[in-house]
Amino acid sequence: MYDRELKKLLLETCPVRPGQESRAWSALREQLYQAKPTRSGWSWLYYPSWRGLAVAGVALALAPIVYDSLFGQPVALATADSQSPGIYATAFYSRSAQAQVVWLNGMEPATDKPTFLDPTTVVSRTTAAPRPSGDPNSL
Amino acid sequence: MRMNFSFLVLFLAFSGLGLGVGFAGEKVWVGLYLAENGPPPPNAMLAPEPMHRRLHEVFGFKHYELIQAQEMELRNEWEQWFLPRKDFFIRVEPLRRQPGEPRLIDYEIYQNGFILAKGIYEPREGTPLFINGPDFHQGRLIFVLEAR
Repeated sequence: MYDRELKKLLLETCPVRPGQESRAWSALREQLYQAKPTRSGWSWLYYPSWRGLAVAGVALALAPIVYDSLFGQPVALATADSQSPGIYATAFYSRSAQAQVVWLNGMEPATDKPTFLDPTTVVSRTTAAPRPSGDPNSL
Repeated sequence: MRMNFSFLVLFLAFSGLGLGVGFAGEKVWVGLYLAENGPPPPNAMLAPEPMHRRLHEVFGFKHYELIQAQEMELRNEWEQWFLPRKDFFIRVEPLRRQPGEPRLIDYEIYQNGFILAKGIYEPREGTPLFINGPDFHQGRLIFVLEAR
């Protein structure tokens, strides 16, 4: 019987389970060379331990904060509706400024001129229209 | 000991999430800034550095001079006016707070006595509201609302 046929027969009768070879080699290596089983620096992630539980808890707590800072669009904190013709109002969140912004377009520039709130009903004598000379009764 | 420390870390991480919501929003600071690129007057009250950085991100001007500011009590659920100028002012009215809901305020922007826009704003600690106002000389007027 050839080796190939023997191997095929063995695989059919005694299939090798996943990881069995590596575990066998690890055990054999331990006995042959008195070597300790090698574990990577991240192996604590795969085995249940208090350290892993604590790290998982902290990661779970920080995940929403990190996600929000990276991808989260805040719930609308402000709205803006135009109430005047020609005025366009929009509200948005500026991620770089971390501020809500209401942007109004179409406004007249502000000036230093008096507004309607300034008293305008008082007419001084100097600004009164001059009376026409001649007949005082004429209009 | 390590377990206790882990629980402490978890407790602090979760409890910190609600602090800002619980205590924020009882007062709102309203200010009017004049944004300019030219040199500000020597006695001008400029925006503090964090606010300057945020305003610069949005509007891009070099200087932000505080024209006038006012603090409003949000528990007073009636209309309050902030009139730093006769031609540009804002009306703020805190809305009645529903149990379990955040505080909302209703605002209206006026120019020359006419309403331009209105909206609703939810004051949150660390998230101010910038309202882009009209141009003024070489600069621009900007309202800032900030939860205190």
